[in-house]
Amino acid sequence: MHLSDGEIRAYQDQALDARLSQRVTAHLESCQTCQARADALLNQKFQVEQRLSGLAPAGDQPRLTSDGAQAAFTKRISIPQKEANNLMFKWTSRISRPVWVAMAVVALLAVALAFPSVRAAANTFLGLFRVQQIRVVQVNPANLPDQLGASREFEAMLTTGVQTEEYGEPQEAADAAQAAALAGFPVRLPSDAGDPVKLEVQPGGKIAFTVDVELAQAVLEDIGRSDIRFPKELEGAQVNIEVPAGVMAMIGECDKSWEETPDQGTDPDEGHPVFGLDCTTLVQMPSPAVSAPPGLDLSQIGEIFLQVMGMSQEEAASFARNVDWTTTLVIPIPRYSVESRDIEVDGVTGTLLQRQAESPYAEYVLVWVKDGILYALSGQGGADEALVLANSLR
Amino acid sequence: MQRLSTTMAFNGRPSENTTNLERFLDFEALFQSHWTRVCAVTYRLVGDWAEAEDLALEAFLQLYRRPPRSSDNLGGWLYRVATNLGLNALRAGKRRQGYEAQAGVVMLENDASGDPAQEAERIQEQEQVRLALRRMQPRAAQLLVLRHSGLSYAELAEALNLNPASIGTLLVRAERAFEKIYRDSGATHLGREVEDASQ
Repeated sequence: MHLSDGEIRAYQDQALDARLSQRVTAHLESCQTCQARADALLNQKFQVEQRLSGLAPAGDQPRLTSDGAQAAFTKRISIPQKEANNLMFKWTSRISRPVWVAMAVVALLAVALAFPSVRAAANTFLGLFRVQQIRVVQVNPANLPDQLGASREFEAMLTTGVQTEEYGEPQEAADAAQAAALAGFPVRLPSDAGDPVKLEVQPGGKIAFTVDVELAQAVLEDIGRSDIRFPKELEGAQVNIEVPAGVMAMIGECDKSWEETPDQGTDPDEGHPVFGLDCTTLVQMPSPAVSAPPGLDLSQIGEIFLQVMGMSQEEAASFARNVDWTTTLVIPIPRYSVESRDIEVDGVTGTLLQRQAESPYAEYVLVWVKDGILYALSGQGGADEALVLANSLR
Repeated sequence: MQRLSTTMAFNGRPSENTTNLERFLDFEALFQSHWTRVCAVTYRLVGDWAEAEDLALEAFLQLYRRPPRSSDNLGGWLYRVATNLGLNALRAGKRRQGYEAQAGVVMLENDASGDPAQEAERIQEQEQVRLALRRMQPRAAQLLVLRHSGLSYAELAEALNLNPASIGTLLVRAERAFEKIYRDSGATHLGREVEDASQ
């Protein structure tokens, strides 16, 4: 049995305990394969060290001493904190198109995951849910809890209860065939995109979440929604989401850069990739699969989610009852800035999201599900531009 | 100086949490323990002491206004937030870096005290490294920057909420990603950014 790269690296960094370190030493002495990998890893380590060492302060120190910094700090805390933007406006104020959809999905998952209405039943999963359809729910941004993004209880819940794993790094693909081979599903592209197409395969991943009822209730209280009660019998319930690899096709001028995260100090993973104006993107991926223990009351989860999103209890209950939560991806959109409608696309019914007519930016996001694959096409223009591309997928 | 811990409240809201904060937060001790090191971390990302200090102060301010639930790992929390802020600043500063690179070239042309060619090479190398960090997955960039700022595996695990046993593997991946992006973005980036800035 060979050593893993991680073991070798920890060994080289002297981060293993004495017993493990001795074992690795002994193995390296007897295994030429691992010794060769160790040499390569050491070389890589030194290379990166050398490059990064150029960024280190050249012997000098900050101008401010720690005492001076404390004084500056005291002065700064006397300045009133800027009012936090409404969470939904943060998500959607600049629609960065596929990312906007992705963020809505993430928002849905982040919140829905917090409230799985289930009783713990280790390793026995009743439900395996896959997205077959999409529904949009309009929420009033003014009713959203401002504090969710700033809730330390919410952050604590995400950091203590959620485990994520990514299955690799994004990779570029030369064509649809290569992308399909890397992603593991047939990849379709517009037959006549008119512009160069770049393909990027995003790795799949896994998210596991264990319910901490006390913490979940603390989140609700922290965001000012102590009126929503969280059932105690859900303690310890575990939900897993398997996210397959996906493919993003970038058509036109799609030089991707990153926009500053609006609320500095939060996780930079939340920053928005920004694409050029003449860029159209098509994201496709098999539906994520959610597995959860028996007894999952999806309607109840959905109702809580919708209430947190700003719906009244009655509205949420009514909507939640009429949705098949096992197969439906529910995307919340702000009522007064984005409009949606059902539209026939690619032989199925999809959902077209557009900015309100008075917006100076004509942008669309078109989402649909076909043969188990979730598609999100986004670009400049309106329904006509969207349909021409979507209906030409081969 | 007034003890900061006696003035604590979340978002300016006096509450019962104040008591908890008073119990575990001592900002004077935190500044003494972490100020220089946090600044050194942000300096690596932005390359300017004034901005590095500003970002470090912002990290302390975040701790003050939105402290983590547990007081067990305030140092780790600070380093994580500081690198987040530094990476955000790095991305936001893309445009400005172009101007600065251009200004640096002019400055070097006027500076007869050192070896201008060597200095230009050093600056270009720094910009190329920062460009690669900016283009990496943020978590991987954080890991590299903090590791090369001297954090141990245990400290990295605490700062980034990672399993200590996975640090070696994640470092190897981060280094590979860095090297690939560094090499790919390589020789032409500075010229391109200077060109951008001059447009």
